[in-house]
Formats: sequence, C-alpha cells, structure tokens
Amino acid sequence: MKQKLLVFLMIVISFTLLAACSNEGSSGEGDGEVTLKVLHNWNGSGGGAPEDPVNNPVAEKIREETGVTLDIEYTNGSEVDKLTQVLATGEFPDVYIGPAWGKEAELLLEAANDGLLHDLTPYIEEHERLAEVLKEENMSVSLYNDIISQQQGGQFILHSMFPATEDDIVDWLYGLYVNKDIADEVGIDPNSVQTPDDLYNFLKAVKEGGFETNGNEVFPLGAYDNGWPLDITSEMFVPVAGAGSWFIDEEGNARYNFMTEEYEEWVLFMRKLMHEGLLDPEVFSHTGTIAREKISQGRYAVMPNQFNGMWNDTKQGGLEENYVPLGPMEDFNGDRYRTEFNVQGSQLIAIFADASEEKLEAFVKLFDYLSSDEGYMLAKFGVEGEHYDLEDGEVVAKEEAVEKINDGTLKDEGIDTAFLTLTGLDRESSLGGGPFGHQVNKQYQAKQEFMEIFRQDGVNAATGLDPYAVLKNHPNFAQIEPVTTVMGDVVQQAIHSSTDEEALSIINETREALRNAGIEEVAAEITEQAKSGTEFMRYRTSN
Amino acid sequence: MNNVEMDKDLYTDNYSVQNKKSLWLRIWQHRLYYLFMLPGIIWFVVFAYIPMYGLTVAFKDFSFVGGITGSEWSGLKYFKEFFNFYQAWDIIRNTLIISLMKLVIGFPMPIILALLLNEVKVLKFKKTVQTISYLPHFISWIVVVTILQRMLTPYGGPINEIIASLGFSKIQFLGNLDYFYQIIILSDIWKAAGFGAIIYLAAISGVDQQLYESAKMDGANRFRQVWHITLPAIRPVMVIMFLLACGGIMTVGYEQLLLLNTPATASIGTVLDVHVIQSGLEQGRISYATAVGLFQSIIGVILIIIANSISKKVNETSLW
Repeated sequence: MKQKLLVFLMIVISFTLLAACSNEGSSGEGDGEVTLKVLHNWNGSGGGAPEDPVNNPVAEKIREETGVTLDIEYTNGSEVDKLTQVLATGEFPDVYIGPAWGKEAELLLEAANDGLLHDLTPYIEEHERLAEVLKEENMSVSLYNDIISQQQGGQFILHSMFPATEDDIVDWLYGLYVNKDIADEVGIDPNSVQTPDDLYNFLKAVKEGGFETNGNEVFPLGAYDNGWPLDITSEMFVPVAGAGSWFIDEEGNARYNFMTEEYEEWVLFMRKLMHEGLLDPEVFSHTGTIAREKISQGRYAVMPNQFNGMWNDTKQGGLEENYVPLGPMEDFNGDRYRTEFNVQGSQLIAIFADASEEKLEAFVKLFDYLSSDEGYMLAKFGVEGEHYDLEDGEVVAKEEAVEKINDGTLKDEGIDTAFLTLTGLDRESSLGGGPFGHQVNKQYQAKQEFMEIFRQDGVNAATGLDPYAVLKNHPNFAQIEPVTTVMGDVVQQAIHSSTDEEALSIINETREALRNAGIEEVAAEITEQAKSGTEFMRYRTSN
Repeated sequence: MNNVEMDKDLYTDNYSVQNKKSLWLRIWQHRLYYLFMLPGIIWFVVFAYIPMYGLTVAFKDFSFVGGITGSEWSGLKYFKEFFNFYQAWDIIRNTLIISLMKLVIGFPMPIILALLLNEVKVLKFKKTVQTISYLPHFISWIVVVTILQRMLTPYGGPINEIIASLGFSKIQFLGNLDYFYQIIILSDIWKAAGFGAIIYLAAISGVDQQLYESAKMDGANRFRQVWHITLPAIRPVMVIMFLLACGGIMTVGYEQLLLLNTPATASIGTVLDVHVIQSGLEQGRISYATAVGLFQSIIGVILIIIANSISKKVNETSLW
C-alpha cells in the first residue's frame, strides 16, 4: 500500500513538472460574444481597476453595444520588462495597450515591422474614427517621426488620448509643493522661493526647525521611489529636464545635457542637499509603498509632484489641503512662468497577429464604438441618467457618483478605467465640460487655484523636432545607447558622493565613455541641422 | 583470424550483451528507486538541458519574429560589446569581490552551525534551533529586504532606536558604502546557513559512534573529538560543497543584489547578475544579456574543472 502510494506520488510530481511546458488555453468565444485578452501595460494600473472587471455598468454597456468583453491583465513593474517578456516568449495577448513613448514604443514598432502585429490598414480606410487618431495633427511630432511614420508595409499601431482641442490638454501641474503649516512656522512665504539658493535656504530653515509628525522626523525634501520626479528640479538649470535631453542655445549650438556644466550644477546642488541632510537619504532606495506612506504621514515638508498625485497621496493622511505650490521656481533663464508642453497622446494600441480574424474584427468594432462621442462619454463619465445628467451640454455628476468620487469607489462602476484608453481623442473638456464632478469637487477647485499660481503666462505647446530623433538615427547610436542606459544610475551615484570632487569624477568617467562612443559627433550633427534651419524643440516644461 | 582470437571476440560480445542485459535487469529490479529519480531527471531535462539551446542567442542578433532558431548569426559581436562596455571590468570586479567574500565568510557558517547543533544534547532545543535557522531559506529576498529596510531605517527602525537610546547617533545602514558588504554577507548567511547545515548534519549523523568512544577513552575532549573525528569524517562532503560553490563564483544571486544595491552603493554593488537582468529585461537586449550570462557560466565551468582537479590531486575527493 505504502509502495503504491509512493509510486503514485512520483508520477504526480513528474506530471506536474511536465505540465509546466503546456500552454494556457485561449479565452473563449461563442454566442456572438468575444472575449479579448488585453495587456494594459502601465505599471501599477491595476490599482485603478474596477473590483469586478466584467460585471460593472460600463463593461455591461460595452458588451451590449459591441458584444466584446475585455479580460485585462495589468502590469506591475517595468513596462519595458513586460513587453520584452511578451515579445521574447511569444505569449501574446490579443490586444496591447501601453505608453506612447520610450523604449516601450520602440519595441512595439519593432514588433510591428517584424510582422508580429495585425495590419489595420483595411479597417483604417473603412472606419473614419480609426483614421482620425492616426492623422499627423493628432499626435506629437516625435511620435509621428519616430514611431508612426516608421512602420513598414502597413499601419499596425493605433494612437489614443491625444487632446482633441486646446481645452482638452491636461496640465498635470508638475512643481514643488510645500506643507504650508511648516512654511508658516519657518516664516518664509512659499511664493518668495524662486531660485536654487532660495530653495536651499528654505530647506535648511526646515531642517533647523526640527519638525516632527507623530513622533517621526520631517524631511525637508523627499520624493517617490527611485527619486521620481526629483529631476523636474533640473529645469532650474537646463531648458529640458533630464540627463538625456539636449541643450540647444540661441545660436543653435547643441550639447547633451549630461555633458553640460549647467546639468553638472544641478547634480552638485542635489548632492549638497543630500550631503547636508536636506533630502531624504532613502529617496532613491525606498519602495513606492514606503514613499507613499511618508507622503501620507506628512513627513516631507517639500516634494516635487504632479497635482493629482500630491492630492491623492496626501489625502490618505487627511493632509491634502495642507500642501500648496512652492515657488514657482525660476527656469534656467530666470523665467518663473514660461510653460511649454509637449502635447502628446499617451496610448499606443495594437492587436497581435496571433489573434483570430474574429477577434480582430471584434477589436475594431470595440475601438470604433469607444472612440465615438457616445463611447467616450460612457468610458469617461459612465451611464447617462445613472451616473450623470447632461445640463446645457455639460456633464453633472449625480449625488451618488459624487459620493463614489469622494470615497474612491467610482472605478468599481468601470468609469475612467482601462476602457478609456481605447476611446481615441481625449475630449474631457470639449465634450464633458471638464473633469467628472468638477462642479463640486474640492480637488478640482484646488487645482484651479494652483494653476493661477503656476501658470500666470498661460500654457503653450512645445514645437519642433525632438533632438533625440537625430541621436537615434545616428550611426554612433549603437555605441552611445549602452552608456545612456546607465546614466540615470550614475547621476544618482554622484548625488550620493561625499564630496563635489568625487561626484565630478563619477560623472566625468561616464562623460568620457560618451565621448568615446561619439556623442560629440551627434552634437555637431544637431548643431549643423539647427543652424541650417531645422526647428528643434529647445524648451519643454515637464508634464 | 585464428581460433583464439575468435573465441576472444565471442567472449567479449557475450560479455557485453550480458552486461547490457544485466544493467536493464538491475534497473528493472530496482525500478522503484529509479522512479524516485524521475522527477529530478525531468526537472533537469525541462529546466536545465532543453533551455540550453537558447544559449545560441548569444551568437545571434535576436529578433522577436525569428526567435531563438530563426535569428541571424552575429558571431562574437555581443561578447565584444560587453568587454568594450566601460563598466564591464568594474562589474566583473564587484562580482568577484562579493562572491569571494561570500565563499570565504559564508561557506564555513553552515559547517560551524552543524557542529554546534551536533553538540547540543537537549533534543527539543536542538530541533527548535534547527527549525528556526533553516526557515529563512524559504523566505523570498523581496520579503527579507523589506524586513531589513524596516528594521534598519534610521527613521523609526528598531535597530536605530536602540542605537539612539544608548546615546549614539543613528546610522544609515542601507545605501551606505561603509555597511554594504556587511549587510550583503550577513543577510546571505542568515538566509542560507540553516538550510546549508542540513547536509552537514546528515553527514555528521553517519559518523561511527565507536570512534568517539575510543577518542574519549584516549582522553580527547569535545573540541578534540570534533577536530580529529567529526571534521575529517565530513571532509568529503565539505569538499564537494566547496567545489560546487566554486562554480558559482561569477554568480552572486541577482535577487539580493538587485534589491539591496542602491545608487549610493552602485560603485561596489553592481554585479554581473544584475547587469544581465537590466540589459536583458529592462533594455530588451536579449542577445547581449545572453552573451554575458554565457560568459558567467563558462567561467563557472572552468573554475569547477580547475578546483576539481586540484582537489583530486590534493585530497583525493572530487566530483568526477
């Protein structure tokens, strides 16, 4: 008996091991209804998913109109990692939704040109709304030049969430935010802080104040995991934030930010803040959860953030009304209010070639429906009469919906979730009159107040070609790219140095590697093009 | 061909047939034991041998559509790319330093723990300690690192609170060059020593008890008994474990380093395993990452061969 049991056990273990080699079954189809497996490739987007992704009012209405149910997988971790895994293993979903920038977009283009995606050309010709999202004027210059126009032998990638009108441009309101009670205590008006020196003095005053919250020390300055988005403070030194951006002066001379003295000054400024205990020493090493915990507890006197992130995370500790704009800070040229956004849509959408014709057609039907005004309204504001009423053409949230907004359960209705990423042009203001419930929402009112502080000169669109396109198409790119991938780590390493000399030595080693890889030749090429009339994007406000 | 030669050939053939038959016969006779090996064999075939064909990617320009077999050959391009990368030698140096430290400091720990446990006479206490010591093996690195972060943080972490209550200033342990190696080595020992001790305890339990009796009669104390009986008895196991550890010198465990290394410690904490993960998954450079991984493995094999032949000559214990 014992022997038989052992034999049985061994066989079970063996089969379990072999089962690891089998494929998962594909999602079912039948009764005229189609289930599409979707990869929603946005890190952490699962947090905004409805509790019941299949049976919520928006999903049910979509199913009723199109016969399509979405089985959505959300990414938790790096988007590039996830897409690389999908492409390398061949474990394709039916539909891909992901960021319209960065390495993710480049990988998707590679997949398109390798024949891994369905060619949507016949459907684009047939459906006006599909064609609309691919018009050159409905995407950023970089997206058109680097991705959409680089597709070979067809149109494989759709684009979504580009603002339909100027009113629809979303201002994320990136900037420094300060706990106004602490500013009051140290006796410094937040609006008087304008330069790096002012910021340093302010943070120093906070440090000397020895503030505590619930028995924990308050850090003068902090940010999220991996230091995000501390690098927006580099806009005080260079026209476009980030080590990998380009600094093109008025004469058209181009320099790679990382190679410039101005960017070096920012690194040394941050190093000074770190070394003197003005910046949370764990800012580049703590996890997102711990960072949000610190923010919700009010343990940062000042933090770089975008408005919604700041509001939602401080709200967890009931502190959302304590934080106000610090500054605005002067840019590299001493201007406090110049705001130029790179107007762009956020989503790239594709359907993998492995998906059946039936699924392809179901997807087209779904996208066509969701990108209609009716579909957009459904995904953005829910069901008319149930979640909102239309008054003078403007969406007015019903009382129950407002309650759900306040207690954070609106997502469970399927409103403003992943469905929205398939709705084509963003029409929040032009179609709905503004964010859902804005008439009664404190968050929206606070944002309007802060916009008056940050955007006194209004907002303009950044124009011109992103110089990155020249770098990417340069013969030296293959040698330069591996160095650029470690540049972010090098900057963080320099910020942690104990002396300026040590920081410079770390930066200079990588600068030397960039020089050896041929970065100066690329700079010369951009300079030549800029001087001979190519319009490059020379200024960009983080958004 | 003369008769003698013919007889010899016949004899050899018959012998080999008999031998072959007897092997299969013996396998059949002991089929139950062979069945126990089956899951292990399947594991190795499925997860170790079949994936080996993927190593060809190191010599190809991997494309998603071509996959492993259909991509174009590119020779040693990615190996050259790695050795030309300006941080390559720093990464190799970091890997070797951490690995050697783990080997020198970490390797004896399970042996010491096993020897100490063997000396414990209260069985309940011994079993409790043993269980507690090997439990960390089953905790994933992400949990270990989160615990470490919570324990060691200067902002409300218990360790620093104790330090502060004793009148000393708080210490930023994580993300600090001065404490990086200590944390890496100690956390590794904490996680691995208990589980590693099991194999030595098993070896110790096989030592003939009469040897201890004789030693006692000769007046040997506990320490002498350990030194002259236990250690020599488990030496073959120690040597085998050491040889296997030598093979892993170029790999230090990507999870631990990926999680514990921070920008502040990157100059000494960036190792090959992390570089492979970052270049392969984060940057999508599959061929390059495979080339670096293959380089690690080749060095590992060479080290095992060298260590094995030295061991064979010096103390007559070897893997093959």
